[in-house]
Amino acid sequence: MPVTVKLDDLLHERHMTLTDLAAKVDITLANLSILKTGKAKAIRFSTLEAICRELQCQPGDLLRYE
Amino acid sequence: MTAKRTDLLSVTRALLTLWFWVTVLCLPAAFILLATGHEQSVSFGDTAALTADQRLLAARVHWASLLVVTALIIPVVLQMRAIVDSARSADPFVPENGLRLRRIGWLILAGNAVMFVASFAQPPNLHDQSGSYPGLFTVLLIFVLARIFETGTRMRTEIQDTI
Repeated sequence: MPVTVKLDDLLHERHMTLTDLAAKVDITLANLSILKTGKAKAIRFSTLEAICRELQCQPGDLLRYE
Repeated sequence: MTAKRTDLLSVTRALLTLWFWVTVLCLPAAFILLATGHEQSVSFGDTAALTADQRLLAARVHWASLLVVTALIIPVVLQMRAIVDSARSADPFVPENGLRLRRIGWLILAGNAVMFVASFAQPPNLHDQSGSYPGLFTVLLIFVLARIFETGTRMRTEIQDTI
């Protein structure tokens, strides 16, 4: 898939675990895991907004076209 | 609303189960009538002008085609029941249901083909293909529904995989 999710890198930079993020953005750990491993087919704006808010980043930092 | 839907599905399932057992019981009856060549049991068309041999042939063709069609109804009913079961479990948009509908379509098409061929095997004054056209429309409708189900299933999967 040309669009990849860089959630793992962002979490690593912020010394945060997926469980911490799941609790803060109110998304299940299972769904965040699907997103992190690139198995998700689409991402809602509300999800993107919540992740960007908690990780203090831009959507472009989370997604990359390769 | 949900309770009414569940009731409808439960009633449909019960009717399909009844239909299944009636069909299963009809199979040996049709076989016996075929084996004995029970010509008096055939009461369609103008049989008065036929010879004894033609009446026997008409009866045999009639019961043989009915036997095959009855045998085809059994898997149709089972597939329909499986679709109803998936709807009762609140998840009808599964890949299997598209396949089940497609199978039902092919089975009904096969049944129509048997009846069509059987009508040609009958003596000339007993030819009757009037039943084929509604059957073909039913088959087309089922194939279209199968396609709709497959598209629905694909859309459902995409929604499920949206985070």
